[in-house]
Amino acid sequence: VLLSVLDWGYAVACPRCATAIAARGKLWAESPVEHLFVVALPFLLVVLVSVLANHSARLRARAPGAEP
Amino acid sequence: VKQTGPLVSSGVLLGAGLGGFFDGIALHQILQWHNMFSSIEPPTDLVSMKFNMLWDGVFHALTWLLTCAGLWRLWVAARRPDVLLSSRVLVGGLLLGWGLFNSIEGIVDHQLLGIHHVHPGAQQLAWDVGFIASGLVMCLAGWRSIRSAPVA
Repeated sequence: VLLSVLDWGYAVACPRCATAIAARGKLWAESPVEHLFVVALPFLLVVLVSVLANHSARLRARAPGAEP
Repeated sequence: VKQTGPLVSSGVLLGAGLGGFFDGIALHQILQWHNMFSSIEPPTDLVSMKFNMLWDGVFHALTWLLTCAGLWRLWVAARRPDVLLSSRVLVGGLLLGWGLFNSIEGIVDHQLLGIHHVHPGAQQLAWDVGFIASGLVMCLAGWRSIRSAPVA
């Protein structure tokens, strides 16, 4: 069920990618640079969350209706 | 009102780094359940083992960089007078980071890319789902810990 949901989500988020991946037969890559990107991807997403957390107070302050 | 964001930010980086080290040391090396690309290149001979060892090394190098970045951000946060230095916030950030790492790694590497699975075999989907679920539970526990800190 989880795999079906993920397949569906990926096809909706990026139909072109989903078609290309289906033609290739796999989502992972062949070259060392692509391997590096694959290994680094979860780390990059964690860093993104960390950056957002660091700026959360500033973002809240800019939100409409926030106290000056 | 003191800020919690910078401490959460450093905790997320440190938690993800330490969680990555736990994954690499316990699951890749001690238990030898999987390697970075073991579903693509199963480590059945010396060449494929060396290939997987290389990418396990890259994985560990990235976790090391993440841990260093977390330590640096923690130092920066600790020196700021407007940052709330709360154990609950730091522990919450650590749990949030570890949980995020497990969830993201579980979804991206195990499910979307299929480069390896937690414990390959007949029950691999159950192990993979359990791994993602453990990450989500840690995220929730971390979030609750952060929210429970008294903001001065």
